[in-house]
Amino acid sequence: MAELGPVIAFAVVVALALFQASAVILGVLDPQLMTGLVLAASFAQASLVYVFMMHARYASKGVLLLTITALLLLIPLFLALLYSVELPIHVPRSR
Amino acid sequence: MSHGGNEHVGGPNPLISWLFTTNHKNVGVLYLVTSLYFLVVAGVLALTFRLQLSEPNNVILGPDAYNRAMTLHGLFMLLWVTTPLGAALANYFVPIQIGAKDMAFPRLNALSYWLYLSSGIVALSSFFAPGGTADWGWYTYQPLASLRYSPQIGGSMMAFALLLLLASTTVGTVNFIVTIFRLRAPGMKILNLPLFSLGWLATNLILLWAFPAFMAPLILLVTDRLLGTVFYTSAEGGPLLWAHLFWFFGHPEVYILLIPGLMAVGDIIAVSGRRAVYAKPAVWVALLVASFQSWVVWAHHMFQSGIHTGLREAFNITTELISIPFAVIVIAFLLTLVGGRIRITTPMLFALGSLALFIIGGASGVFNSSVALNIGLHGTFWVVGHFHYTIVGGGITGLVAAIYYFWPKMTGRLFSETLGKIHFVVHMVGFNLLYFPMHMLFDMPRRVYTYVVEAWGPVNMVITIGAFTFAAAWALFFAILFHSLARGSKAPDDPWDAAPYSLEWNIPSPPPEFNFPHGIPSLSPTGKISWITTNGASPSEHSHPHLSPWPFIVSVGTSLIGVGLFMSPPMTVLGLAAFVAAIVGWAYDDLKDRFKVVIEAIGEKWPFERDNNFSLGMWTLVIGEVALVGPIFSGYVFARANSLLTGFRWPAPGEVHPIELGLLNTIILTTSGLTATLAYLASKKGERGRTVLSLTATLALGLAFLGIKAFEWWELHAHGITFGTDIASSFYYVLTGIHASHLLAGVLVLPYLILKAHKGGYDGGKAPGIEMFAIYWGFVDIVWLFIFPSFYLL
Amino acid sequence: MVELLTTETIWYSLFWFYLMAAVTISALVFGFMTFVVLRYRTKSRNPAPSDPIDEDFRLGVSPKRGGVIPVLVIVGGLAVLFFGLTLSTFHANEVMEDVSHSGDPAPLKIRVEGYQWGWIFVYPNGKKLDGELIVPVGKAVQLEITSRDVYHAFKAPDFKIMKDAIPGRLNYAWFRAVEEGEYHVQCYELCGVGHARMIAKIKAVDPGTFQNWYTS
Repeated sequence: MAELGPVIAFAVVVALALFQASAVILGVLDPQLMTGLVLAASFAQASLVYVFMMHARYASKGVLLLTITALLLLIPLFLALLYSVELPIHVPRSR
Repeated sequence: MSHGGNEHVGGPNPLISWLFTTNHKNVGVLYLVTSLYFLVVAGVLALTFRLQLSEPNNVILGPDAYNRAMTLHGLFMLLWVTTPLGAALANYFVPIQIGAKDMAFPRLNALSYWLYLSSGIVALSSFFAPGGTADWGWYTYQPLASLRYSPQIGGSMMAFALLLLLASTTVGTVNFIVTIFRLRAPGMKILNLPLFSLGWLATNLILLWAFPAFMAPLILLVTDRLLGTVFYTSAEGGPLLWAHLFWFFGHPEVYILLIPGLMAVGDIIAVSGRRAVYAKPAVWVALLVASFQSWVVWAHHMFQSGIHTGLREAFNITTELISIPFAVIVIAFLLTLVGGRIRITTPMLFALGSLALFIIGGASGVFNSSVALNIGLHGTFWVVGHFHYTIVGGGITGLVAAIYYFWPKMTGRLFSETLGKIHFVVHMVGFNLLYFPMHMLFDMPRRVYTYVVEAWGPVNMVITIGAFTFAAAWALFFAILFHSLARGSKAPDDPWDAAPYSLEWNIPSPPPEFNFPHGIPSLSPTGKISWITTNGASPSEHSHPHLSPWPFIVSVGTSLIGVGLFMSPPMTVLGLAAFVAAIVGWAYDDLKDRFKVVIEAIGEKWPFERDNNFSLGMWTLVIGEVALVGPIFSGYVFARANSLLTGFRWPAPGEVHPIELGLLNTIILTTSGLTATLAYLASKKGERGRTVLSLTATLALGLAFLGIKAFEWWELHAHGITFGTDIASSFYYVLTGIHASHLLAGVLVLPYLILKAHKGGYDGGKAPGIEMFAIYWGFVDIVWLFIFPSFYLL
Repeated sequence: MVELLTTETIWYSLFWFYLMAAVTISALVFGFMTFVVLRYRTKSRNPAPSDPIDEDFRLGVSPKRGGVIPVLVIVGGLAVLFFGLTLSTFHANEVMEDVSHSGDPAPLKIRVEGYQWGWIFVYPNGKKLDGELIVPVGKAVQLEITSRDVYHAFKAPDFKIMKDAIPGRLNYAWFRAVEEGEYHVQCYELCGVGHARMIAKIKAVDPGTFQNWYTS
């Protein structure tokens, strides 16, 4: 049953979406914990779609390599932008 | 110019065959002619402002004209000249060097070219738009380039032209990556490729992410200018958002310009010295390391912008380190010559010259990488001198060497060696007279139309004299090429005695349409070339289906849209009609299976043995798009982090965007992802009914998603939340807009897929359309899975 | 009397260090290049096909060509050189960035505002000058640089100080004039049609004159 993988993945993705939304609507969690959980759920959903829906099989090593490279390249950009948030003042460093 | 492969008997007339060609060699020639034409345009612009700068307080060009000329010079030389010049030679020679009959997607190859030409036409037309073209310098700093400070319509036109160019290059990149990875001849492992092809592969791996990464800030700029979003005018986004996103593309771009020329130089050196490249694996590793490093050096362009000290120090180190792989490459090239028998030919002279200039450019680059020295050098003529040494010296001079080297093969004609050597001398004298003195002006600001400091005068005069000498070298170059075409003696197949080194010297000059008249090339582990003969099937019988009018008509359409959008609305309508007609015609050809691609089943495909050309093409495209969406998301994070400091209150979850609707759309879209996947699986099994059903479900769900999205936008507008309300609404509209337009594109393709599936076109997985669609649709799903939490939940 | 620390002397000593390294290395590479080309150059247009080196001239990777050692030498050598360059750069940067290294316990703090197209200098007591900054000789001056409209860049080439003037952000630089005179200031980031004319001057005067002017 080739369809089993995508169907299970789909069910988990929807369950995670329901979890994310209800956690936010109910607002029972500590905000920081919730942000972490919501993001973690999104990454899990994205991985499931990547593995089971885009391929319907496992990725070839080349495609995997390209994907990992693409994600790696973004990390420095995120870091650099975050380190540039110093409004309104850049304080000179002193020891 | 020779017609390369077009010399088949009884073919259509030459004009039609040039306009509708899909043959990689013809496309290469088109690229070459066009990029050299743009080189002349951008070069003449440079001469006008060099004339203006020859003396202090000169009045030949006013500040307006100067700024436009300088901006166009920069944009054209980088994006419309150097990158495509590499693409020209790569189009012609990479398929031959890897042992392929053509590119993986010949029509897309033609499309890349025609979109490139169309983008160039729109960009040049912007010069004549009321108020003139972009005048903000090629790196388009904000907020100078915002509507408030630069309202001219030509600026928006230039931004549109850039988007077209990026689309063209992205299509080309996908094509080259699939071609180089999957169309190699038997025995042609990656490392066995000649350096030029190897370099072009590295270049394309950079291009794959660099150009989409440029599209990200550019889209934000276009929406700022046309729709009134506030990415670059608000305190939360602002100038630094542009600077980061732009240079994130901008620095990798530098290596895109350099590598093709540098690697061609390596081949020429090996051939002239009759020696295999020294430590070729190390050269390849160095190239890969440099390609990756090119992504972590960009902030050295922003050393003076007051970003975090630790961040600057980190980029200081990464920038210095990137000179190490290039040092390895340069030294490997020199060691290649040890023990050789060096013949000093024109290409070899240019190759050595290019290497020498690149060494100087590399050395001056180390100065700029120092956070402390950068304080004195940033924004001065020193920097102008430095990057011209690397790009014009390392990149373009290397490509001149490559044009000389490949010329006899492309045209079947020899050029005059004597004139070539004279050209070399004029080129080097002009170059050094032009760019070396710039280093002495390390106190003079760049991009000023004039200057008052008298002491800068004499050096500037020398530079201007150098500029005209260098221009004369180019005139001589073109004269030599025309002379060779008109009077040159017939070239042998192997003028450089390079047959053992690379495939192109084993076939006729110019090569026949499908490159290899002796059979399929194959390479033994000891480097011997042999030919696998095909039984009777003459490649020329594929000739006629190899013309396709649609890429050309797409280009006519986009040019008309591009110019019309800003200057005359009726033209836009006409362009849109041509565009739609071309797409429909293309799809119809496909449905009727009219266009056959000639691809050998055997050959090297590592590491993509398990994919097919089409699925790999789609994978490459969507993985490239990560670099379009990723930077916009990182911009969103930046703006949100900034808003904590500027006091802007980001809307709380549920406050503006109803969580329930977002959740509903998430479920709808995920379901459509599932149905798309099921359609693919059903089509592979040959279950036609289920395929059609699943595709129809996908279409319905896609439309439902778009409907809900439209409703949300409508509601927001009704509540007065528009593109420009604040930074949060800007990001929401643009990110969901980009996502929705991707979805719309998929929805528009679906009826075609359903029709073809209904006719049995995908039974048993015989065509890749649905697989490609499933990959694309999955990517669109993933993007939404991040948009949903970003705007609805957090 | 101890010589007062200035940003331009730090910059120039670093610059000469880099220049020395660059010239030495380029000279070595150019020397090697010239040697190789002259040594192995051949006049004969057609090398004999039976030449033994021909076996080594082939498509693909020749196993006989190249070892790891030269690569390691280049990588290692440059890494050591860069380590030295980087240490001195970071030290110089630290001093040039931070006014507390100037040795002046109470530097004069000036706010610099760029606009299309000129520079405004605001003194702590509210005095405002357009296009001219008057400073006392010997005193460390700290600049707080920003912009009122577009992206500019403040630079005084004689002191080798520069910082971008960005709307919404503050950037800092310091300098010290040790001799009386007028010094050039200009915008170094394209900012529109007036960019080339966005010029100001720093006028260094003796402390007494400055005090008289400042308190008047």
